[in-house]
Amino acid sequence: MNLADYIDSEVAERLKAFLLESRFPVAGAFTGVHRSFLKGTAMEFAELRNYMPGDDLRRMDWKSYARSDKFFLKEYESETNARAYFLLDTSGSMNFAGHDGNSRLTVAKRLIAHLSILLLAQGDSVGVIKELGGGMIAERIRGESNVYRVLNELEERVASGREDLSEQLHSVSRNLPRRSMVVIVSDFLSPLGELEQALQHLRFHSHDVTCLQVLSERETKFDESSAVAFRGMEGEDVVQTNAQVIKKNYLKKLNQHLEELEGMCKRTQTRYHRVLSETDLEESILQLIL
Amino acid sequence: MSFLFPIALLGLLSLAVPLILHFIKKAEVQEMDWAAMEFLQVKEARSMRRKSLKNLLLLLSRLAVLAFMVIALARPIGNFFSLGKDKADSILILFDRSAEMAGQLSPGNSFHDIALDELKTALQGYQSSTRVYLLDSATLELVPVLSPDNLEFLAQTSLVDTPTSILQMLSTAGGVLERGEFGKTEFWVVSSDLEAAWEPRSSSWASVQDLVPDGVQVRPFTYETMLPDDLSITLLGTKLVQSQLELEVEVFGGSPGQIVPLNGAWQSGEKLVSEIEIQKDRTRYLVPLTIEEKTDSGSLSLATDDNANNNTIHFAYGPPINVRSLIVTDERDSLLTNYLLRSVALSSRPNQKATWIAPKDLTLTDLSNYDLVVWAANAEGAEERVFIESYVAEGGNAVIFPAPDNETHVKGWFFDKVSEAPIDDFFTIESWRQKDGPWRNADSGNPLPIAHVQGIFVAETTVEGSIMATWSNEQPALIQKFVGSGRLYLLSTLPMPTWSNLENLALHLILVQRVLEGESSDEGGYLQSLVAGKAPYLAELQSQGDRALALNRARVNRDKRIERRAIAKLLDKGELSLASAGKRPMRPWMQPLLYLALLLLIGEAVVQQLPENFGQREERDA
Repeated sequence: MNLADYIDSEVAERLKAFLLESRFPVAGAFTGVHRSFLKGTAMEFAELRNYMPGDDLRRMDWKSYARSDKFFLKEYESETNARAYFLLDTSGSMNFAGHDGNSRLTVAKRLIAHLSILLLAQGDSVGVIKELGGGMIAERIRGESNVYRVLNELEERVASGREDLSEQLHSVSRNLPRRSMVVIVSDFLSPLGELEQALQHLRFHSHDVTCLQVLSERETKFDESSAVAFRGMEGEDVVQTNAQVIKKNYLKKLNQHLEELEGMCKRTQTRYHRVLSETDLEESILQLIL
Repeated sequence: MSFLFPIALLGLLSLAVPLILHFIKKAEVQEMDWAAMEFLQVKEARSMRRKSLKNLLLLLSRLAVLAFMVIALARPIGNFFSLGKDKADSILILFDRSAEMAGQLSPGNSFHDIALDELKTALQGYQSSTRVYLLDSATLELVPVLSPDNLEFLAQTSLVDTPTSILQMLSTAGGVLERGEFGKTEFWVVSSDLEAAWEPRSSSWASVQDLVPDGVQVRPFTYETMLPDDLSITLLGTKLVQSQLELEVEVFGGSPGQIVPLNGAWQSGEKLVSEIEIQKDRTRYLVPLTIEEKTDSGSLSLATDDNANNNTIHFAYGPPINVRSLIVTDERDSLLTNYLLRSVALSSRPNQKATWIAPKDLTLTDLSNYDLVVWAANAEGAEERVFIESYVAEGGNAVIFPAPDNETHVKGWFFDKVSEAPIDDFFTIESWRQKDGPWRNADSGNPLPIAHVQGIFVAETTVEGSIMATWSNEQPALIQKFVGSGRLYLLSTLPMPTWSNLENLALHLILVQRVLEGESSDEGGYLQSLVAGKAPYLAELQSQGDRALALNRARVNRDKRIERRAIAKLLDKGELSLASAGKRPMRPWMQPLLYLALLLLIGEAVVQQLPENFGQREERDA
């Protein structure tokens, strides 16, 4: 696939009008659009808090003292930049193609590409996580002009076999700098079992985690013909069945799984967003950032 | 390898059905990659590869069983890995080489040729180690048959003039067996005389059974001797007309234009010769025979073929007897009296005589001199009824009409009050017995015009008997009652213009004449006794007051169907055992069972190819 195929330049331009903000304070070195963990002397007043012995008296809110005979300290918010990392699921199931013929992997890469452009444009750094030397690492890329490096990373990604997403996330927690934005792009169709723990691990390290689930209408509607032999994409046996007969049960199980996934994300303060591969790219991204 | 019923091999086409379904099913299954495999929790998800292989093996084994069953039904014979071959040690062919074997089943196809072909085919079903011998009907000598192909070249199979005796052949063959070492032996009896010899009622059967040694299986090769010109004659009726006896006969068979002579004789000795020209396959003819004796009997036969079963008719006739009727009315010269006198004494029946009396003279009259009493008068008392019923009980017949004076009702009489139909309307007869009784349909099958009867006055009755006809006001129109040895009839309207239109329709005449016919039929036993032989007959007794008796053939039926049925019975009883391969008919219950099994197997193979969830509801989780 052409690198240029990952980018819809018009969409990218339009997206730059928006900001992709972190929900949690991030630790950035430069002034960016994200709230900073560090509440410093910069610009915007955030809140008052009770004075504690040892606090800087220069931040004392004398007006509040005058009104209430109590000591309050001013807190300010300062904006900084974020480090955003994308973990792309490259298990075999990501090769699943939607009605439009595009594989989930392709859709995921396009999403990452456009989100990267947006992040780079707003001064954030991005990185595409990969496995190297038994650990998950990512090269930080800054500057909008370096988006091609993101695309190169994406281009190298091929989906096949099985992958242990949970294990990858644990490695990410260990290896990435704290308080980063981590966007996990996957179909999340595997059993959720240990994923919650992995997400908690990420949150423990104060990462702002987003689960970006990419599915297809074929999976969510299951309008397949009657007699179908389903071939597993990660080495499972072929299952021959009458799709219409099992449809109700299948959708019930799928929706249960999706509800579990959402619930898990809520519990772990993970942002959850689902994209259908047939949905318009721009619409998908806007839903994510708005 | 050949087959006895090759048409059954068409059943192999049915194997295509499960095969086609198998491939259709395969073609219909769409294969696709799927990521969300976790949620496809089919209860019995198995390896498609393993399942395919299993299904394929199952399909192949079922097809093989079906194929074998079809082949079995086709009855293979011949060299087929020596499977299915019979294991007789020896076969003795008892071959009829008489001239009768030159008879042809169809043009160019003699019994002799057919027999040799069938023997060759049958021998292919036996192992090569089986020894075959031939014993012919002329020489009664045993010769070995080295090869089935040699049969037709043997001198002992060529036709000669020497007649055949199956008994003799069997006796000779039995004697041969006693002398030699033949092992398990079969007798193959080849003859066109076979059916007559195997008739169980003939004394020869018992001796045939005795002639076949114990343990020997008999296999008959029979040839139906068709009688292409088998005519049959049936006597439908007979009528005595002055000096002639008219026979109405029906002839089956023959070709149009064929002249068929009828030969016979009277019991009195005179020959009878007549002839019929066949007009079509089933034709009725009137055969007039001149009679000279006062009473006689005779028979006539078709002189065309030897099938005595259906060639002969028998008949008899006797002098007419007088039938006397008594009419009882109020006035001798009344219209009613004249109507009734004419009905009981037809001018065409000189033997029918009638007398009139007044009611007051009834009890003074000896009714035993009369065969029929017809009453259409006013009764004076119930004792007249008693008098009449006593006469009937002694074997007489009476027909009672209402009194013309419909205003007088005698208590205890046959009839009660009289009903009058509304002005401008009539009573009609709604229903009547058409198959029996005096108003039954004519011999031609046509119904009498009972439906056209219109009554102005009808009398009610409380007499209980068989209601033979009913008025539209639900009152009985005609009642028949058996009293002792005689019969009593009540007709509830008069054949008078002021009462009904019975006279116009002559239905009262039919009634009394049929009652009188019943009288004269009592003489049938005498006439039957005139017929030669006195054997029980399939008799059609026809007597129209003139004492002529029509009879058909004797009850002893020597139809060839009996021989075939007899053989079938003997086979079922096991008294006649046949060799195992080829011509032995399957036991009657086996063939339908085999066909049923075949159908079940085909059905199962078809069902197996249907989708797994065919007809199932959606799966639910456990």
